[in-house]
Amino acid sequence: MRGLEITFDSVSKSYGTHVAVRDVTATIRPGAITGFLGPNGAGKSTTMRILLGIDKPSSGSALVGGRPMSALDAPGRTVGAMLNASAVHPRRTARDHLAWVAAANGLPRSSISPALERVGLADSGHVRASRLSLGMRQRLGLAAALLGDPSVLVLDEPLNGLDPEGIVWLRDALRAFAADGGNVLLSSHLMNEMQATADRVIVLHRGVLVADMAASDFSARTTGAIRAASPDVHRLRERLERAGGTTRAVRDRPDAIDITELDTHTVGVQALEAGVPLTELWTHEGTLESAFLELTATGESR
Amino acid sequence: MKTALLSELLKLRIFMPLALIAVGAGPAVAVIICATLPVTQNSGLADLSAENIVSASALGLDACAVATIVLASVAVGSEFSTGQITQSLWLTPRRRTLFGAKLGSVGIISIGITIVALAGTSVVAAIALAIGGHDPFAVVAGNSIRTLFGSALMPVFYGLVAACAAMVFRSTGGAIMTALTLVLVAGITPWFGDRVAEALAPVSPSAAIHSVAGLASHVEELGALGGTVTLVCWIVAASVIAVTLFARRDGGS
Repeated sequence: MRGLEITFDSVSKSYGTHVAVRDVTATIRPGAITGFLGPNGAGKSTTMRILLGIDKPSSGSALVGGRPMSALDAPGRTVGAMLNASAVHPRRTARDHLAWVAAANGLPRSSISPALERVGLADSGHVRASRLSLGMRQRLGLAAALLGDPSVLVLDEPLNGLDPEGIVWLRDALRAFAADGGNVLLSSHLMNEMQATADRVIVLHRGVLVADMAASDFSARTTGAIRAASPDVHRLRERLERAGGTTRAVRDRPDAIDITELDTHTVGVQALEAGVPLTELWTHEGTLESAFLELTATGESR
Repeated sequence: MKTALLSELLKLRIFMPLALIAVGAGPAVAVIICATLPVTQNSGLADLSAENIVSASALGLDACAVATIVLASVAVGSEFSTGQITQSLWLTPRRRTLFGAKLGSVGIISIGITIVALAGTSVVAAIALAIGGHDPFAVVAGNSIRTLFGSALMPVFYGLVAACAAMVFRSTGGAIMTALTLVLVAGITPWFGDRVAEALAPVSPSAAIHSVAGLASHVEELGALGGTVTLVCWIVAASVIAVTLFARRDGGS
């Protein structure tokens, strides 16, 4: 498989005076899993809908393989998509749902059973969507996305409602897909899973692209900060700042601070000399979550 | 277009109960109307002309039209209410193609419903004729066949209008209200006198259908060709409005 490149070129989208997406430019290359991160309302889903041709950009363009979705010969066989797993008619069975998707893709009905089997719904083909759990609807959405054997996958929150076994299955499936040359763009608010899955991350904040880099580079942004906690945190803070450190309060932890510019040994010595007891002292390992929270809290630009 | 049309037809499978209701409504209402003719017309079947009995039976197709309006509205409107339109647009991002497939599928199912309902209504009319001592084959003779075929345009016409309205309003309720309003306006127009009815006749779908069916009163007579042109203009206008809005707006849901 040779996946196609996804390109966003100065994509903006406004609803009246509200700007949902502002001048987003990015290139997503095949052979990797790209995570789309951002708080609620950041513009991730809107950007994905624009890419799929569901919504129209106010300006700019979103292309797959250099062409808009509407110019692709077989859109569903080029791009597999899942935006909202619950967007299935409740009276339709899983098999009936895939039947119309297969027909729209120009695929035979014989493609339905393998697709159901692939996502673990082989025994639920006759079950109406209204009776499927969120996780099962999620699997059905993935079956529809994968049905046309596409080379690009666009998945909005695909991990929602999946059980641990399903998450592992999806992670492995996406990795295999990308390793085979496919292009994966997925959004998720589950940072740990995104860290375990994504090779690259694109971060949107208030509609603006604030980061586009390798996931490991993004996580490393918070590596090295030191967490210290003490019953006398104010005195500890004064002492460390006098020693050349930069400190920052920790949300929901009035007894703790994060310190940069000093190492753990120096922090320990400074606390000892000041007679301030420490109840915690450790170095942050960079995580996607901490980097994401830090970035979206400050709204830092790329 | 072929794949989009096929997928839209497959989507309609879950609405088969509504289609059966629409099919059954024609002959069922025809039976009720024929059975109550002695009361409503104060004459027995034997005293009524064959054309009167057939035109009374054809009212069953009005009921079929109402049921088809509901079917078309639910079929298209539920795409928006369930959010499935996003998947339809992903698979068929060319909006004119998707619109054409939706309208085509509603047209095909409406024609199918109409053919079966027409056959059932015709059989009811033939039985009523036989009971009244008339020749049952009078149902396919003279003006009677024109009456039945003209009335059979209703389910298809109003089904297509409802489908367009569902695309415009993105809702089942809006589609049903629009199509039923068109039906009801025809019913109340005579209340405002002949001059109003005559003035509205060229744009009235009801006058057009009555003209094609040979049932038009003197104030709404457009002739078969004039009636056909009016109906075609309505479908073209509704389609142009619906496809233009569909092409311009975001996908919804």
